[in-house]
Amino acid sequence: MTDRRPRFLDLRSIRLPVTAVTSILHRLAGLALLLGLPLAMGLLEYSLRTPEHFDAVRQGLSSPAAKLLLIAGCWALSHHLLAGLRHLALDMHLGEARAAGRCTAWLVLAGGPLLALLFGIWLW
Amino acid sequence: MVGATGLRDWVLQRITAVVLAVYVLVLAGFFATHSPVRFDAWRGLFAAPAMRVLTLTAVIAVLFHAWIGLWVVSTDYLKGTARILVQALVLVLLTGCFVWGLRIALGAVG
Repeated sequence: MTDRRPRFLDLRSIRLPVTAVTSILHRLAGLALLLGLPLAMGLLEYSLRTPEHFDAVRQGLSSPAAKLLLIAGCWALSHHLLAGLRHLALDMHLGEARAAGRCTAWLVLAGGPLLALLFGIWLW
Repeated sequence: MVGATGLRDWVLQRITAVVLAVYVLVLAGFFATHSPVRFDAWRGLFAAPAMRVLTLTAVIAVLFHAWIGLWVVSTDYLKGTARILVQALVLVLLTGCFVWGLRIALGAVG
């Protein structure tokens, strides 16, 4: 396909609107969740076997590195879930105006770290 | 999915999203009310008939949800062989997770 449209791909000077930031993070979080899924399911299956297996998983997840990974996973899940709820609202024609769209995009963007923080407090 | 209309994917993506949201909220509710989590309560949760049905539903939902999501994203950014390769990898990964998920939901280990 011969494409003669002008191109502007200077990533240093492209400024994404907040709605686009929320959207690309929705995608990235989704990808991260897919990659984390085998690990999470493996741990779940292992932890359900016997009390000893359960304790081993607890032990394994108690290191600071593992906790940080869990908190990152919580952010990915929270952001993806909130951005998804925003999409469902948009599908029902709720919050489609530009101002409302930006507002809910900010809410999603802020909600992810907030929920991850709450989870972190619970975890520690 | 390949060769199908976008509408089917669009609807499936939303139905499975709701299923997964419910599943996440149930798990979050469990964690919020069980601190620290003990083995008996943990195993009891996943052994409960209602939870088995919910887990099974979620396992099926995540298969479709992740496939549609990754198909859309990979089709946006990749071309040719790279795209086919990534999509094949995603399918293998998801099929593995699906079988593993059945094991958890149906309690082959419990």
